[in-house]
Amino acid sequence: MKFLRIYACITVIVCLTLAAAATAPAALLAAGEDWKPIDPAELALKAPVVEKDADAEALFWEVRVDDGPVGELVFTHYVRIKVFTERGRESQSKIDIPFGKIFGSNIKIKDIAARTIKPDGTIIEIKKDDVFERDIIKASGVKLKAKSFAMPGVEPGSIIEYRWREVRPNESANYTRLQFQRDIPVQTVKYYIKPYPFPDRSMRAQTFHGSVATFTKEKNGFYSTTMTNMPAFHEEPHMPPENQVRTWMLIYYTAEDKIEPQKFWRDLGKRVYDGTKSFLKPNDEVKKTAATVIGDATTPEEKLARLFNYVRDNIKNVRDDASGMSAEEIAKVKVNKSPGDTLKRGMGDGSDIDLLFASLATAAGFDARIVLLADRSDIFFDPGFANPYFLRPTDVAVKVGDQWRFYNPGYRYAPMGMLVWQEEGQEALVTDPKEPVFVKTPVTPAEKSLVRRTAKFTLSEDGTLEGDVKIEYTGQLGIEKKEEHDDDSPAAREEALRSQVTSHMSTAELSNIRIENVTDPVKPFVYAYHVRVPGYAERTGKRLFLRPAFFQYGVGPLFPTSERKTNIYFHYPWSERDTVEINLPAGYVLDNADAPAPLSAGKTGDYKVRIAVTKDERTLIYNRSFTFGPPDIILFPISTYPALKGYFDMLNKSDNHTITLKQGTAKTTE
Amino acid sequence: MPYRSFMFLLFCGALLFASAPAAFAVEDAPPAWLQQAAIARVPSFSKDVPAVVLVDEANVTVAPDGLITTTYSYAVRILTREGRAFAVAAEGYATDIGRIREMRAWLIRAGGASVKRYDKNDVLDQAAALNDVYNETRIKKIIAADDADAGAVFGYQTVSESRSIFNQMVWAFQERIPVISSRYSLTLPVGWSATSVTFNHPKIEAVVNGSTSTWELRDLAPIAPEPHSPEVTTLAPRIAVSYAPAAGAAAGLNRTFASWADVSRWYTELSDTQVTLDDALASKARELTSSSKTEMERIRAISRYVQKLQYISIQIGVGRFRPHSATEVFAKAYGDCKDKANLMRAMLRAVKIESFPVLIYSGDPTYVREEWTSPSQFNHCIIAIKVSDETQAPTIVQHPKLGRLLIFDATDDQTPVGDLPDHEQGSFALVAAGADGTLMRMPVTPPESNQMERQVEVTLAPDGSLTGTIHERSTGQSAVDERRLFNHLSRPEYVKAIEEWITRGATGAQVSKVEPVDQSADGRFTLDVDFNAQNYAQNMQNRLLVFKPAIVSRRESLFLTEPLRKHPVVLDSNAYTETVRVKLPDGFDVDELPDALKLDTAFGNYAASYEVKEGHLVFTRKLTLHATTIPVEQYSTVRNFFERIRSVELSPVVLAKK
Repeated sequence: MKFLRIYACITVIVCLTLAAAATAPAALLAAGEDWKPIDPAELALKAPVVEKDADAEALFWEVRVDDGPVGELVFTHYVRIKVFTERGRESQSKIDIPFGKIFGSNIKIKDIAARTIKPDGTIIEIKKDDVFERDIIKASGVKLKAKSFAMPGVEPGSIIEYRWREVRPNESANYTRLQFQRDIPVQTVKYYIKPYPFPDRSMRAQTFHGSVATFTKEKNGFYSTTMTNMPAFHEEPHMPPENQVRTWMLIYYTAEDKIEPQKFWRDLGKRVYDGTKSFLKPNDEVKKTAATVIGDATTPEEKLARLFNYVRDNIKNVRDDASGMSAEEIAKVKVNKSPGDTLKRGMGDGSDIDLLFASLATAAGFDARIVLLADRSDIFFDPGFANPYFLRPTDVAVKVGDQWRFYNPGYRYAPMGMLVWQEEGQEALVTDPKEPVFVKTPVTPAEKSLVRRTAKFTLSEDGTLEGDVKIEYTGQLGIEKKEEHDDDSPAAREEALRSQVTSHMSTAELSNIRIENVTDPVKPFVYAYHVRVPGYAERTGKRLFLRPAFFQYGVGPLFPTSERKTNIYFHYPWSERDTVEINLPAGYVLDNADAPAPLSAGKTGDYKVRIAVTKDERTLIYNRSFTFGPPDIILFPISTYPALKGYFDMLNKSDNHTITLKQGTAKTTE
Repeated sequence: MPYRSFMFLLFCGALLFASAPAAFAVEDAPPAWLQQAAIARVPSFSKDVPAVVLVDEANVTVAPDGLITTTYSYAVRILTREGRAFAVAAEGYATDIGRIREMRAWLIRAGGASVKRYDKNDVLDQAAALNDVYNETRIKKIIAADDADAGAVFGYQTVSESRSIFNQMVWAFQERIPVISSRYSLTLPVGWSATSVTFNHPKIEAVVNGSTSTWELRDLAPIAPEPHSPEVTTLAPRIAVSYAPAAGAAAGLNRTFASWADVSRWYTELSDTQVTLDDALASKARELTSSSKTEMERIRAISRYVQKLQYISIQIGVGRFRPHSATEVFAKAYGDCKDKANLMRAMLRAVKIESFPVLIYSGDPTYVREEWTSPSQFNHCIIAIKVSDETQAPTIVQHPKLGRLLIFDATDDQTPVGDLPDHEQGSFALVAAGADGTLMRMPVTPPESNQMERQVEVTLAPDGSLTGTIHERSTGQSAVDERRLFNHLSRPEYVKAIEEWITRGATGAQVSKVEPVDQSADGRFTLDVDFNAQNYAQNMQNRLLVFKPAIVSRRESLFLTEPLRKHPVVLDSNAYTETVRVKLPDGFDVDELPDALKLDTAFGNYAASYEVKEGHLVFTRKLTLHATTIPVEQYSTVRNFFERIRSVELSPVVLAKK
């Protein structure tokens, strides 16, 4: 089951709007206008200005967004790129401009022009025949095409530039995302925007992760905004979501002259409450069911738990990979128009199940509400931006005492009292007829997102380790494991496990594999297997060297590189508990069994290892515990990267801690 | 956009749901052949086999005017969830010479409970080569994966028409999943004849019935992917069929090729006229070679220029086979493999060096077979340069009529003159030189031509920290691997990649210098790295220091992890040597050294040794592998070979306090 929420259909709509900006370096020369003159300094430029190691750099990137009264949205793009290296030549020489019927849009591309200015000033312009129109895909109702061309004569030192017009009939610029970063750095990004002349609305722009845009009035009803020295966008491991890192701008229309966020959210929360209350209203069947399900439960927690378990256990989520429904059955599913329908049919999508839960809770006398929430895998929501763009009707809030509690029974793997990580730690707007409020959703503490690993091994004199392993995942770790595997066949799950183990322990041979509770909403996800690892311990003439941290064997450091450009972000706090018992080989005794020192990172991280030996000195017992993350979103500023890297390096070092066995005879027990 | 209320959401949802059933095609009975296939019993397979092909059948009719009509029928039973991906109908065609007249598909759900039929509204029509700027080859598809469940049978039938340039066809009886029945039938006009060649299987004889010949195989076992195994194109059975009109039939029909010389003549006619030379191109060739003193230097200068041109593929009509003219490619400074080879021929001609195009198959060195004379066996074009005795390189072959030929790939910009990409080495390729052209075996460079030498100098401190340098020098295909990494990553990304490599061996290492030097003209690549690592050696009870002298990994490791295997192991030719000199900390003596290891086999040699000399530990390791295909019967030997290497390279050295 994938993380699909109520708002799936809206997402499609938003994507369509965004595609306009996302596809394009855009700029602005009206058809018929000529190329801008080439500054000799640009031709002579030997090194990039914005990022010193860039292979190519856009000298400028201009887009004219014309949302004029004609009834079509027109982007006019113009980009000029300086190529510095062979890599730059290779990456910038081929241009594809998609167009055609895409999700109801009918994008047209016009007036393509492109040319290469060689280092000696020679200009090679592409001819009309050099632009190929090709169908990328044709199907019923969909026709995606591309205009493709190759830049001629490109070599390091060349400047390439191209421009085109992209016309979207019957579309508006409302909620268009304008990008300010490309895969190469840009010296100057300039957008010219001509808003639609609504009599009662005006265009607004919101910049994300960049300085606040200022607009300059231009000719013919356009306004321009410029940003300079924009670095290329780079991905890094453990970085915040892309929209939280890139510089971009959202343009939209609004009737409000001055938007006061508090008032805006209050009004919105009221409107949504009014619009949704009828969906929560229980009919007789819902009321009857609520009463039956609650039965003799007395406390609010108990009642809600029964309702929660009821909907999850009895209402099939038709969008769930683990629903067990065939493709044919899913195809025949009818739309539920009310919680009563959902209850009657015993099936629905995630939002149907959430609504039914809210309705049942209402029937049981609880105050239940629809909650508007942003997706943390997309962006960290800031209520200071008074606009519903990022919010989706996602979860259900129920008041218990004076506290709002959040529930998502439509999502199979989030147990009672927990949301999926994308919804945790976010400001949720709880709708209300009078005073809607933002309430922060709780973050599941590290102790609940636990991986517990146990192993019992026997070590042979030749260094072979053999025994049984069990690994249990709970909380967010469990959810991720279930999501990873619930759409796989048992054979594919086993193969994935084998690959995972052998990727860092190449000689491992797995057998008797069991993978349990893959689609169970409550029980921990479990791997259990027998493993044999020839050469696990390294043998010299008189010693065996053994790394007792079996589960970390061969795993590299989390942050192997010293440079970092973005903040460091973990999706959720988690903890690890390992117990490894190893029966030592006859003929060898422990030479040393000292444990690595504990590693504490204040409230953020805690690592402890304990190594013990049984009285008869035949069995080594290794206990490792690691907890990471404060009880909140785990976001570290880039300035802390060296310390964070150092911590994880030390942790990796400790996980590689080796103990020594020497030849000899152990004492015998009586 | 107004706020999206629940009402609105549900409205949208309703629209989506309401439209879904309409998109489904009407139920319809599948054809008899599919119904029969669906109820036939199939053997049981291991649980990792995702699907089994029940029917894979082409009935091909060639008309007297050369028009080819093919009725293709295919049925697959889905065995697992992953097997749903096989519920796809796919048929390629070239827009200029062919069309798919009809495409229909059916999904018979598990147990025959119900049937879904797909029609033209479900057909996707997409470009076959998405990376090409233009290519007329397309694919029609019906994707039923989302409708299929384990136990379902998906089948489809197409009727297509085409005109081939050659009277030759290839039929592969299998890809990787098992096949119950695969059949190819060819119906020719009366008096015409057909011959076949079988690959990867004992000869498959055609059953002839009137003017129809049928080749069939049944019950083919799955071909599971294995690391370092031959390509599936070398394992799965296939036939090549050539047909010819009756003697005296109208001329102008498709070509046939009686010999490799015929194929050579055909391609020479097609390409030679494109070796055009104008003043601009000739003067560029002369300018590039103006300071070259030898033949090899002239070739190298031109080769560098051509390899650096942008690779752009534009395939229109006969352009699939014939290169664009050299002057056109020169003017635009881009082209595909045959364009580049052709441009290089023209530039070499300008400096009085003769050369020939070479047709080859890129991706499987054992794909091209001598016994079937057909240009259909090739997918790539390189060049053979006639050289004098003064030019020496491991990639020179002796042609019986053309003399010494230097083989070179003008497309692979990581592999310079004097070397050849390893996936082309040892394969058959056609040197197209008119009547003198022949199919010949491409050179295989020896391990010492593909060598990496590494020198590591480190100082180990009493606290276990390490400071040191790494110097690497690579040649041939070993250098190509290094060069490819270097050229495909930006400088910061490259430094990161090197850091990751170092820190994998020495956790927390700080890398203070990364200096790569690409001497591609000479086929060499060097890399210098300075680094230090705290706590590299583990201090035990303040009396022992334990560390691994193999500080960084060999770049390429072979992990044959499975205990059993079904197919041979394919090794490339390369060699590796490393010397690690560790200055030992004062106050410590060597207490224990790992045992030295020496392995000698037909496919490779390995030696590791340890020596303590003048306060230094000297660890050396040397691995040489020959280009070999090792039979599966010897798998345990080759697995053991690499396992023993892995084991010794993990072994630690123990120092004890004096």
